[in-house]
Amino acid sequence: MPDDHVRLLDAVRVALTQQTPFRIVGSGSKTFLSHADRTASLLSTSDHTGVIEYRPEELVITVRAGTTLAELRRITAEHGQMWACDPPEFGGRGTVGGAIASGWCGPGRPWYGSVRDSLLGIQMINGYGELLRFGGKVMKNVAGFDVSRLLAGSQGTLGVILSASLKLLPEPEVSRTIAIPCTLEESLEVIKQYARKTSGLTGTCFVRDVLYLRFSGFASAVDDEIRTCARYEEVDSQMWHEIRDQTHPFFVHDDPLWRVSYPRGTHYRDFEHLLGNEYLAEWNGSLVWLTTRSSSHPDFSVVPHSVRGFRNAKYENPTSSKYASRIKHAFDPQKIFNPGVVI
Amino acid sequence: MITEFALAQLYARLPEHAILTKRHQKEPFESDALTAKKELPGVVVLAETVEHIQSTLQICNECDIPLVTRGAGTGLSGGARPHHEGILLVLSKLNQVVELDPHACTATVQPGTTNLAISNAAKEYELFYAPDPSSQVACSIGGNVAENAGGVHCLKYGMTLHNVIGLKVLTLEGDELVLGGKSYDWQGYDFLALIVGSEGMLGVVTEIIVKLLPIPAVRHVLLAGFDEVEIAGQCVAGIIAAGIVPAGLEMMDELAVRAAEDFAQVGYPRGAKAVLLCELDGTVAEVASAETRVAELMKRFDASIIELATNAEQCEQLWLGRKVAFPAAGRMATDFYCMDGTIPRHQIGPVLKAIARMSQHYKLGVMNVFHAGDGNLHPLILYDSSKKSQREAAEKFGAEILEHCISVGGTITGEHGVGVEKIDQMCSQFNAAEIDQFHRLRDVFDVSRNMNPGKAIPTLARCSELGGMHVHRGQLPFPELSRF
Repeated sequence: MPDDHVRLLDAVRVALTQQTPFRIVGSGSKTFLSHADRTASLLSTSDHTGVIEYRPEELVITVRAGTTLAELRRITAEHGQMWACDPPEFGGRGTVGGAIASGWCGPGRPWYGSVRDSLLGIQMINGYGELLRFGGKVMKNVAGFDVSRLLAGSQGTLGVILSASLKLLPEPEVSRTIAIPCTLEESLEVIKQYARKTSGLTGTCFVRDVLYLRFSGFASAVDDEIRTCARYEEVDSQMWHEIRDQTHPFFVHDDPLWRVSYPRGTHYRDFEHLLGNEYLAEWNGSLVWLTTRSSSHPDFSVVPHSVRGFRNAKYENPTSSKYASRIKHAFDPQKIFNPGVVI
Repeated sequence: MITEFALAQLYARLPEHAILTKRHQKEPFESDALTAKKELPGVVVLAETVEHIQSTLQICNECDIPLVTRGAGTGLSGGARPHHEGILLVLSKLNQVVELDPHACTATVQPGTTNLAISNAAKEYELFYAPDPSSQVACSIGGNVAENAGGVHCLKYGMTLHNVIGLKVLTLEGDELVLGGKSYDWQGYDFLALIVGSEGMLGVVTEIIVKLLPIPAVRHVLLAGFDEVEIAGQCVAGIIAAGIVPAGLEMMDELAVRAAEDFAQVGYPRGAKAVLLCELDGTVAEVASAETRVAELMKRFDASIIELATNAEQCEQLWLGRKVAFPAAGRMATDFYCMDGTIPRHQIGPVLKAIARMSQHYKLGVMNVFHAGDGNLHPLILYDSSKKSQREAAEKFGAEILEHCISVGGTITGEHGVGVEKIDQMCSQFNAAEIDQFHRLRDVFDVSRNMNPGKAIPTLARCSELGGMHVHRGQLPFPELSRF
């Protein structure tokens, strides 16, 4: 497959010369989340696809940014491996570049780490029209500032990501999910017990008075773990993909949707003010999805948190710091990338 | 430089005993663990409070004074080498565990806290802090953050970056940045990822939140001897490809095994060309499954001997040879120079061969003890520092190893940092545009470039003088612009 980074580099240089800012888009699967100016022209990375290097014994894959997550999953699964941070695929459309730019992780986040945790290196174009590489394709690398990881979650404001080297993990031999009917308070007690011991726990979800637990690992180890649980029912592990891609029944509606990230070790009292609304709590109870009937929202200020108005919901976050605007300037002094997005 | 005015400011704002100005007081601080690079600091400040740090930063900012921050001084790359006209800000007195939250599984600590002290404090809750550099008894967590330190358990548990979840940082301008925290994510740029590993050039870390993990129920260690280094390297790749992520996977070459045996009679197979140590941890069932597979793989790769340790005492015994490797090297030569390149795992065999060839060329011995699972090499070059020719040969040998690591797709430093030691090789690993980008990032926090000057990021002029300015990844962009 021809490497068309030359085309992208040229497009950035033309935009710089003509001072025409543009939106960077992969497949557009997460456009609903972006505050980018919709009138700006588009730079698409969706044709910039394919594997550059994959050696399974290295647990590392280097792929072009436009490669879809579904394709990445297919390729790594052939060797029994996975990109464990498991970003949303949104009907198989989501791209690697988009996943990095959004920094959004799946249900396994507390156990498998984040997008940035597994990002080993990137190739990018900055706002000077320069082709740059940071990080690398090895597990440990501390040469220079960690620019690759700074790009994770930067929402395309610092440059065009061309390719990335990702740390993979072996796929677990089995993943099994059990459902335990209980109250929210009881669910937090169960989660608390698991936090202090080694187990194969790789997912928790409390929704509509049921706690779902996912265990992954060697078959015998998962068997042992599940056997110790009381009054459970085994369910299909497909549900974790539905939560990740928001196709789970909880998400399927047009009411305002809020995403609230709480500190680890959430207590029942931290949640109390949310009760009365529909919610789904994953990540050991630290990530709460909340739907409300109207666009007014509950008082989020009770505990330290980070809130995002996710869908049909607006939440004003504190204005960005002077250091954030300097970071932007250090990469993109002419402000050509993703106009309208302020971090 | 430190003017009379600046010194008077220091005395006005800090207690007298916290300021060291006399030569004999400053001499213990003239280098970190890279003892070949010494420089007497202008003034040493032993901070006891965050306010002391704040005052020192303010004086450096107002009086244009170079500032080098130091923890325990165990760094191996000269990152904390003092500046003779600057202030050396020592944080080792700030060593308190501020909060241990067993429910959230986090510890909030001051930067001077030693790495091991965190795990010791967490022990009563059956938790531990995973990254464990060999110097963990002495090294400070602040220094770990500055260098993004590793250790033998990175393969499974990650580096400092993966285990630090929150930071408080003071900038030269006097702002306090509160980065990350106990949540799994937050809004805004990932400043935390930028600060970790920034070698003291962007700010001074005043508080750190680390995540703690449950102490695994079971820990077993397998040892295997091999007749060929390449085969041992292939066994490493085989274990990883089989879907096993050991807690640690370490390799020692023949010379290292012999040195360890001579030093401590640990019972390693003498004469083996390579010894592999594989630590597995987790639940009983998990370790049992992994152990069977690893032992099978070791056999398949013709291991001459396989030993298994299943209790704490046996594990310690098997690890002993690895742990004494550095002091054992000290008995084989008056000096040794420890390198830190990382390479893709499949290159382990060929790179070790190349290092052996270089050893013959430079007529200096080398022993290899390293984190094979991560591909993180630690060749120890043996030399005699009283002989100028050997000193120079050792430096050239080291530089050649690093260049070789880059050429096979690796990096010049896996966990020790660039510091002053590897600054010239930065010009080989990064091109001019990339180094420019580093400088612009540095300017975000420190336009004066007084924070740890001369470390980690070379000036383009320096690269140019070395003739090492690489353009191998394509032409310099906008070649018509003058850059130096």
